[in-house]
Amino acid sequence: MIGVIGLGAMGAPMARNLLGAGKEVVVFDVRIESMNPFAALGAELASSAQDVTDRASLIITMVNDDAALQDVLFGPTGVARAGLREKVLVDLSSTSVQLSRHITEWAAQEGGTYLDGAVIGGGATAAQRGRSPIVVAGKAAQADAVAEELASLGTWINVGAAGNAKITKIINNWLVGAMTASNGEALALGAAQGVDTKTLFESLTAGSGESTVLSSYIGSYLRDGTYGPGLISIPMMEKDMALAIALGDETDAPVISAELTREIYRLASSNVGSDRPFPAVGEFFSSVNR
Amino acid sequence: MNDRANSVGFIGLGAMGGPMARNASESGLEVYIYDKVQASVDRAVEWGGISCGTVGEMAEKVDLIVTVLPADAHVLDIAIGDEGIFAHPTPPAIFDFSTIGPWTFQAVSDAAHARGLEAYSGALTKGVAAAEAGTLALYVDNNAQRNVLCMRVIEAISDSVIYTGDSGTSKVVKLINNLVVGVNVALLAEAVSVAHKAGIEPASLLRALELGSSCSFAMKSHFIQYALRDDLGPGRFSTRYIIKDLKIAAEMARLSGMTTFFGSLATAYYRGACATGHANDYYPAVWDWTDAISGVEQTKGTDVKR
Repeated sequence: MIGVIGLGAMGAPMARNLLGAGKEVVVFDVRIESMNPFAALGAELASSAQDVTDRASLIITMVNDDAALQDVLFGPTGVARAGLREKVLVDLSSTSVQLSRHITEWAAQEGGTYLDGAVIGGGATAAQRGRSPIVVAGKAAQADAVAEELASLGTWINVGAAGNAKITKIINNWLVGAMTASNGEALALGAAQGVDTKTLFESLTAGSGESTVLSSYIGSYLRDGTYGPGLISIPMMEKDMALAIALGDETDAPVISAELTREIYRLASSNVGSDRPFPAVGEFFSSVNR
Repeated sequence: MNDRANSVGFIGLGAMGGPMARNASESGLEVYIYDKVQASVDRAVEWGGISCGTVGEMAEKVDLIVTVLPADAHVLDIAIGDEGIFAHPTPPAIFDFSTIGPWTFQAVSDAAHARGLEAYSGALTKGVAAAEAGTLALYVDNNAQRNVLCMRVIEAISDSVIYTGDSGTSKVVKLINNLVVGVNVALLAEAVSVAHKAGIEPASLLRALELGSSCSFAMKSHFIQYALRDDLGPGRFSTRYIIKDLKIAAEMARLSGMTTFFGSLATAYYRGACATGHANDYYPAVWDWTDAISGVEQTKGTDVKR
């Protein structure tokens, strides 16, 4: 039995894909209404994270942040109450490396396995199609077994020792944030020189300046004036830069571009709007020479 | 009297210009050649290039000269220098593919117009291998479509063209492209170094990121195809060249009150790469410098462990 804790934008389609692949699934979410549709799909509904753990041998957590994961694992009706002995926990939440290390230690003491994971692209759309790119880290043999069991969720790539999946996600988000801001600056420069933006966009995407962030966010904007669905805000991206900076502190690496990109997103927050999706950072550069 | 309708001149027979001239010749054009480097001229004569002793000599024979030169100063000299194209009594039109500032092309264009001629501009992408295969992707100003010889050259050297708009726009597009890729490579180098310092092997990291939202041409080509294989030696687009292009972009920004915050940052990284011995290496060798500053052992681009 596979347990899925967290039925949000990512967790819900994942649970559905597992059921579609013929797996036995038990689900739990603190919001009861998220669980209801799954009864009709053939899933068992649990009463708590502890209940999920009693029934499942492989547990996937997909919650919002450290606080939520702490509660799911170590709270009054959490996973720890049932114990992780001979069970596997795969956490795909956007949580910290530090918490990851703490969970690794705890799992080892319990005689269970913890695999640290992260979804590094594709959003809810890829999740719905079972095409999420997922990085996983921890004991190699266990990671391989889990990747096979959960193949219906997407492509799994092993990135080494526990904690490395969260680090990979931090690296990924650092690059996404920095490239999105730098693309915005480059496009603003092109526009100021009198080149048609659509022509410039086509030229870059056909050339060496191509990237997924350019095609997705600017592509979307040129099509319909919006940057795309489900994007985090400018202040949230500033927080992601702060995570990259924290990684620099932990590893004694300068992370120069993360420091400076954070400042750019902070400027954009007040200049462009703190409720705007993060690719709107480009609009900050368009305003520079007014 | 030569067949002017079927003739074209090429000035600049380097890594890109040489193969371009050859492809023009193989397409049936009579190709006149000029380069300051004798070895380049000799190579071109072997495939039938007709050597000219001076720019003036070439200007006698052709109605269009294609220029593929390293920098603004070279283009100005060849076009409007004392012994340049437009100094000639009956100059041909010019089709310049050099990566230069739009103001430099403007000066060339003004000189051409003053002589009653057109100046055409384009830019090259996809590198040396594509130049040799005749499969370059080009950015070209719209007005080239009105010149038969320009179109024949385009046909001979490329397999895709994007027409960018008014005169000089192809230069801007090229500079913006090189700004974007120059920044992407620098950002990626630093991120991969930090991940490595944190314990993630670059090959594993890149294999993962390639499937995710930070994927880019720079990741797939500059890093996975070249840098991961340590194929970063001299002979490709060097660190010096990317610095040159980033500085032109920075000047473009300065002149229009805009910024190249990230371009300037990347330029600093590439100077670091020059400082650590990579000036002539393929510019993704900046990864060696980001490894150095991140405390990861450096081994790239040369055989020297530092």
